[in-house]
Amino acid sequence: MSSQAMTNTRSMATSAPARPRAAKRKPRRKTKDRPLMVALSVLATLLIWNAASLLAGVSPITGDRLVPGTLDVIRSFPNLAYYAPGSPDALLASSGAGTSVGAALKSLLYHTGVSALRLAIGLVAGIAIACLAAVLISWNRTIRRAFMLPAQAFRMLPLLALAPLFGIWFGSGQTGTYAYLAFATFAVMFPVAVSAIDHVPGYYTNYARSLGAGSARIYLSVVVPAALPGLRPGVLLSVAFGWSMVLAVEYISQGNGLGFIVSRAQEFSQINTLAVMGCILVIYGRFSYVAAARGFDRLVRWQE
Amino acid sequence: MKDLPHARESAASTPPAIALRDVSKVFELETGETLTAVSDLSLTIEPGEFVCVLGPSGHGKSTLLNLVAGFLEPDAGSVEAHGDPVKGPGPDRGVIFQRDTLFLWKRVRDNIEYGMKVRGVPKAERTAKADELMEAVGLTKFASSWPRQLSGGMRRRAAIAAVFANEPPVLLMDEPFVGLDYARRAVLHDVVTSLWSRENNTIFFVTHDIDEALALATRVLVVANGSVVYDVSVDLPRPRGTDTLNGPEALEIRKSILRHLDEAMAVEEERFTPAG
Ligand SMILES: Nc1ncnc2c1ncn2[C@@H]1O[C@H](COP(=O)(O)OP(=O)(O)OP(=O)(O)O)[C@@H](O)[C@H]1O
Ligand SMILES: [Mg+2]
Repeated sequence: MSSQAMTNTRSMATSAPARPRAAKRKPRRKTKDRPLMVALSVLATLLIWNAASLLAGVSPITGDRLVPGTLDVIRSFPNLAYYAPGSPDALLASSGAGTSVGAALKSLLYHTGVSALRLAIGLVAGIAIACLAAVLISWNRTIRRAFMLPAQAFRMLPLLALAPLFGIWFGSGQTGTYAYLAFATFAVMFPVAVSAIDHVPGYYTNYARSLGAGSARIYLSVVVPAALPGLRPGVLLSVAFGWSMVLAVEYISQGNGLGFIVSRAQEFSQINTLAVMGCILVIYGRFSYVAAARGFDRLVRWQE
Repeated sequence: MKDLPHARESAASTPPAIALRDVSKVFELETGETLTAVSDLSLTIEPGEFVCVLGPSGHGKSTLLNLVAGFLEPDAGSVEAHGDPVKGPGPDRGVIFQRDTLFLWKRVRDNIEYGMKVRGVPKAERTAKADELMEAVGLTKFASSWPRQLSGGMRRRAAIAAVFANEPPVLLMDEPFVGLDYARRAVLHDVVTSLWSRENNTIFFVTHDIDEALALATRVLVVANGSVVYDVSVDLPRPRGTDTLNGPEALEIRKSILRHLDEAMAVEEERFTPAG
């Protein structure tokens, strides 16, 4: 069983670093990410990780390593099967009995789907509302400047700490989850969108006016598209931060999703399962970041 | 200022393309001093003239152009275009900027059609006009390229086509060909002069290059210290090849322009007024 687990996890891990491929296809960005460099940095990470694992020692209670090593992570991947919907109880997970890689994958797929859907809905709603709000308030330069300060202050909000508040406001159902994710995305995106519009160079407006365009037309057909590339950092930050936010709400109040696994694993002190989840989330985070960057660059492919 | 030798007979019936009367424009500097960028300037340009404006750097050429374009308001005097007071930028006065103003998110064709679209020109007419202009500036093959895919000279041609497509009776150009090599400039000079003679519009063209001015203009102005210090008509035959431009008549004009440019530099400090 364990050798089967190894091959499976490894194939997952190798499909993960989309970075070198991304670099090849898009030589304009991150050309320094040579495959050799990637291989070396992965190797270095593995070395340091496992050295730390050896040095940290063993938990006196569970007997597991306090910092699970790479092999521990690979071996405990099948434990995820215990979190499949309708499976008996996560308590069994430490025993390692009655699991299979296939069942673990199926379970992982289910929870990934649940979390990814929440993330997608939250991101789309948050980004859309932020952009719409920014377009509405930026119409007038004075109003825009007036909103700038509070918009920047949004950045200081301890967003993760606000997750429980939304549970209180909306109850622990899906509404609260979506509201929280949309709000947190909004808080990240809104200041970026406002400043992107503020930074559109004035010569575009002058040029359009000298062609006979009126202000409403200029705003919608010139200022808004010219501001689009400025949204990139906000979108990427939202995606990267989005996983943390999904995890936070699921950790607190949801009965499924990746955050739910983390919360149960923590409850039962399953250090190895927590480590598996950590690795999986690193991969998801990286993958979605690259996908978002590519998608965005495609959207603004006219850019210099 | 001299009397205008180039005012045409027809000028009596049609209003001048551009008329400035006693126009002044004052800027406040960071130091608290004020700077009179355009000083009590009067100027009349008739329809169909190709006016090139020369003058030392910082002496008010762009300010003058921006006043006519409507990007700036005069502090004194009046600016008129086609007999109407200028109240801001408008499609009757096209502007070709020194920097690239092509919309990066629109393909070349859509850039060229933008002005017409804004003015409600029907689709078929827009397409035909854009085709014709892309042909004229040699960009037919690049109709669906993004501006970033064009070279510097091609972008200038696209920008010219985009503004000409709007058929503005007055065209304002502020050092439009700076930084281009000789061959590209020669091509663009041909493009501009042939479009100009075809459309019969009025061109106000700011440049630092005397040769460029002599190759293009029907009239050259030297602007210094915010005033027109020299105003000469250029009646050289077209097309103006090397022989024409190095002929005795051209050399004579060149000499007098250079003399006025030299004199202008001698009175540099007059424009500043201390704070208070
Ligand atoms: N917006 C502004 N604010 C303050 N001063 C200005 C402004 N625009 C122009 N000036 C000043 O007015 C003077 C004339 O500037 P202008 O741009 O018209 O010169 P120019 O003849 O076009 O020079 P160049 O040949 O270098 O382009 C300059 O001294 C400049 O510093
Ligand atoms: Mg200038």
